[in-house]
Amino acid sequence: MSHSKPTVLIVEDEGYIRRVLEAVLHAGGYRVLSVQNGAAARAGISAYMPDLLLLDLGLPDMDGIALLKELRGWSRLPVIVVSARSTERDKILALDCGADDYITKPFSSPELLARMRAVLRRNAAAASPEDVYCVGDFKIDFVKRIVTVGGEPVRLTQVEYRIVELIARQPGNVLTYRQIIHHVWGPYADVDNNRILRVNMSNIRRKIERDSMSPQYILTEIGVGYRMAEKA
Amino acid sequence: MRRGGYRRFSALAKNIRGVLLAALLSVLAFLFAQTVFQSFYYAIPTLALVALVLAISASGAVWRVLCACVTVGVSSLLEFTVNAQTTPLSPLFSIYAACILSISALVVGGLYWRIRAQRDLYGAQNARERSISAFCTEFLRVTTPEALHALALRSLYSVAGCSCVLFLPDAADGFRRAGSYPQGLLLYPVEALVAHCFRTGGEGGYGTEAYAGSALRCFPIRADERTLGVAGLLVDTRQGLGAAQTETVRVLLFHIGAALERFALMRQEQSVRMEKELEQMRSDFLRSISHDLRTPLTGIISACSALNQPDVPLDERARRELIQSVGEEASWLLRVVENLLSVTRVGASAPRLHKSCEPVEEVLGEVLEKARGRFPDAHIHVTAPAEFLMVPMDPMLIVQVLMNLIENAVKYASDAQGRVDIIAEDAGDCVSFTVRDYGPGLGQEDLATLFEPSARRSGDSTHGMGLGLSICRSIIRAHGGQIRGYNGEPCGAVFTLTLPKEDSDEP
Repeated sequence: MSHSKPTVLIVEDEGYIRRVLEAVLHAGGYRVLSVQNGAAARAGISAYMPDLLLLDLGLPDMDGIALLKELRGWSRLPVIVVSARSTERDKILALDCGADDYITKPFSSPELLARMRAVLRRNAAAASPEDVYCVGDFKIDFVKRIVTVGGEPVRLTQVEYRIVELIARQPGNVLTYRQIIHHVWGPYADVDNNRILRVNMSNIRRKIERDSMSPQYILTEIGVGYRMAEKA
Repeated sequence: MRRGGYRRFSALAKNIRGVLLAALLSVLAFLFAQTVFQSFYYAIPTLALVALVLAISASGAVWRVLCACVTVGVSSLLEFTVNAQTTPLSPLFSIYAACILSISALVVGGLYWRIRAQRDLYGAQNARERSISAFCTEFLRVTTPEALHALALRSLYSVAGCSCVLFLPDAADGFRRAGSYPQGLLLYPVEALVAHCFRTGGEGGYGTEAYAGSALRCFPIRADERTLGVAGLLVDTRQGLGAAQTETVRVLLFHIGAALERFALMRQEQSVRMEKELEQMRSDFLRSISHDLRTPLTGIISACSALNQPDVPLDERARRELIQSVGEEASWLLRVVENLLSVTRVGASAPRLHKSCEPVEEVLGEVLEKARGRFPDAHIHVTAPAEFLMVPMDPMLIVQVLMNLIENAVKYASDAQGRVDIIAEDAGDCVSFTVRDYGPGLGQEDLATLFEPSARRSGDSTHGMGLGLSICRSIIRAHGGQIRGYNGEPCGAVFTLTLPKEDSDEP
């Protein structure tokens, strides 16, 4: 990251939410630009080259999803969707279309700032992939393909390891069931039947989590997918 | 062809046998009269008896005449040759007598056969009517349109004796094949013929003027001047379709039409009733939410106005408390609105549920995380089955239901160290979730109306829980499950909900 403040472009048509976001982000140390519709967002993205986009899905002139798809056609600009649509379908759609994260309104400002920091950090780290990822007692060595919890090695099956590796490569990112199945079982797997993934995840949790009911490392986004916990 | 030929041959053989029998019996009768009575007088009644038997035994008029002629001929021949000298009466007399007897026997035989044919006809008609009325009783008994279609086809098959197929109108002003007996019957293209029947409301196909070349005979199923469907009979063209059979089929189709009409009316009535219930539910909801919304809103507004008054001196602590209460009330409002949104999702029709198979442990994990976030002081214990279980559900809604139950438990059992148990169990064909608190429990008067939208737990004046519970019930019912509330031992309120493991909606 450069030393100057990161620039955030807010695409939000509701004035009240926009003002709150602006205030919170200013206080969080960001340079804030905001637009109210999709057309202005397009212009703003090319004109200001922001470091992060906060996108509302219900825009007056176009659907946020359409804007996201269009953007993903040419840019890796990190996008966090901030939306009042809270059903898992909307989340899955946004994540499958390339959003980096998804926050539903109402959100708490510390959470929003934390998610933004995480996305920016990931984006900066994406260029130089790490060999080791660890969070709390959990550690995964991508080179040796070893997973340890509290120093104790965990015996994972081939498939289980691939799932854990995939999720741990992008900590903080929610990976949808579809994305995981596609990557682990290959392009011809039946992405609509995720039972095998869920069973594997249940087994993984029994191996790595202290209490599989309240997981610490691999978190559930109910009905959407899984997310690796981030470094504290 | 071969079978028809054989049948004809066997009838012929039977009649030839009848003629030979006639000759033989004549000779025997003559000899019998000759030897036993020594006289021809007694031969006459014997001959009459023989003639009668013959007349009855042959099935065709021509054959009966032939039998009679043979009887007369044989007896006259014997009369002339054997008894010419000894008979006191003229031989001609006995020949006349034989002729008269034979003719009267013919008439009696003819009558006998006609009556028998009539009886057979009535018998068959009776049997058909009986079977039709039996089917009609069954028509009244079926509960689903699909069962009615299958039964209609089966009844047609048993009455008409040929394969049959049923066409019903579809939503797009066309028609679809609703089934056949036997199942999976293959047909040549008959769309034009069936469309013709639907359009005109008349019969068509084999044996009629329209599309006479088809082997399918189509009958419209009508009720109230409307064509409700078309039934097709695959006629065996060698035998054709008899008039009586056709008539029976028409009668049966009339009853089928009435039964179909009954289902249409029932559906209509059901939708009217559902509409009414929905209307009732809506007004209940409105009444109940207006109360639920007003209380926190007034709190928020008064807090805001207090904060906005520059001349009211508020110290820092009081200000913070007011802001905190505004936040709490607002999040309560948001939860009410979220509950309302989920009702609009489940209320109208089931397909709005976004069902997917979810592992029980993940759902419980989500609930636990949310509950610990919202009620950090409560002691929430979760018990889950050891084995891996997946249940089809709309996870957001089920999490919401469990959160509603936990919220109630925490609220009403705050004096019992806030202990709440969440127990998931495998209950055979369904999975049960139980939320239990150790507070004072449910009052007897609350138990009956627990899930009614307007219900309010006695002694609770601020936030109604009736709305929350009635929404829980709608959500669980939309999943095909059940929810009930009762008092636990030794104390505390228990809410148990079940979700079926098999998804009934999926084909």
